[in-house]
Amino acid sequence: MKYKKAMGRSEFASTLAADADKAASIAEFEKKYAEKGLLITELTAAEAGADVNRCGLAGSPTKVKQIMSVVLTAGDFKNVEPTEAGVTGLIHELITDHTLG
Amino acid sequence: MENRGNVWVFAEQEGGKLADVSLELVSKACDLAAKLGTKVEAVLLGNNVKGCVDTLFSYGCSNVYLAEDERLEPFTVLPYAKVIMDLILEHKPNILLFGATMKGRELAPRVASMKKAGLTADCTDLQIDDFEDKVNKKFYKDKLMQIRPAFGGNIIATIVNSWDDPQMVTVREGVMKMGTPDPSRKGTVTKVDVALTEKETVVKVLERVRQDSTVNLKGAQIIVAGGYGVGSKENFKLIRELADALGGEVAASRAAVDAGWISHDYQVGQTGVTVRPKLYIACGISGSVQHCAGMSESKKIIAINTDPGAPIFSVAHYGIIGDLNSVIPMMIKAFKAKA
Repeated sequence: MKYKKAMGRSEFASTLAADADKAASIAEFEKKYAEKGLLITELTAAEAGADVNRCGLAGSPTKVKQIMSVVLTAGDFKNVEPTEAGVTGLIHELITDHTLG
Repeated sequence: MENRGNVWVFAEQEGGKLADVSLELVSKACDLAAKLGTKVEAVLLGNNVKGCVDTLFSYGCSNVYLAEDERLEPFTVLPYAKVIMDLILEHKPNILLFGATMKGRELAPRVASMKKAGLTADCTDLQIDDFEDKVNKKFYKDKLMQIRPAFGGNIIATIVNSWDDPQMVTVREGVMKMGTPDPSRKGTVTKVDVALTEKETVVKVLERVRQDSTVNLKGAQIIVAGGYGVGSKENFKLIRELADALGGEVAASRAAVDAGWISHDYQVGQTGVTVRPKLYIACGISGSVQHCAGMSESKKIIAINTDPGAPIFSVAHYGIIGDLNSVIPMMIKAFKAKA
């Protein structure tokens, strides 16, 4: 639970008021959180050695063109009664059309 | 931005026998190539495998890139990836299809990574259509629509490769329908010089131990499958009895497998086997999207379930709304009396 309070620089910066001295506040935040072991290190794409042109959506070689939700509901089917007569009739039909036997 | 290269299939073989999935993919590739106005070519790697060439021609390949070298047998991923990568750079295929087998799943991502191309795994359908990339404001004609379930099968996503690279996909065995071979079809063989360095041949296979599967659901004509509604491991004997009586194979849904009632070898569905028998009897299976993805192409489907709203009835041709414990004995009795 200790790390629930961990935070990175950008997340902290987003909490600052517009007129705040951001540089000073961030420096103080980093010092304080680092001492507690709660500072999440952030790396930029350049720092990680990544090709910026290949980062993000524009950099993906694949795109999702379309998604469709699949909702299966009971549809049209031939209802067979769960009785001797119903089941015998079904088996007979399957034997007649060579599905069985 | 159009790639007018041909449609390629990685022809997977083991001991000189082609994998069924490769022939299924050649059949699908023929449909795609006909729409694109291009040809189907296979990439066949191994040692002493030219006996597979005529089979590939008979299914519709017009050319086979044949790479034979003792270093290509048995399969190891580094030499295979190098040979395929060299071929891609030289011939620039438009589409490259791999079977989603143990080998295909290892090889395809490595080739895609080397080429820095996109790869869509486990596609369930492939189509040709145009694509407008609104983010980068580009229009692509005749791209490969790579259709696959996503987010646990609750969504079907259509994915495209918007770069001018080979459009690479893997497809699981049994998903595409195998065409009818025509032995009169002929083609050309392009022999490939295998240029490998120590870097690619660093892995040596010292020993291979094979364990062949004892379950052959893919080739079964009649399948009786049980789901969580079967109720217990002991009750699965009902499923076996019906399968034995009809001369079929036993299968199961993931729920039954997860419950420990039957092994994973018998699982049908998105994370199991894809089947298309002439008769599939689903007993106590609710019919999740994931399960239906593996059996909905069966010629006839009988669903037995106590819940009339179960989704399995959406793919069923015959529905029996009732208790499988009473219906199955009736079916066995009726078949034995009629047969």
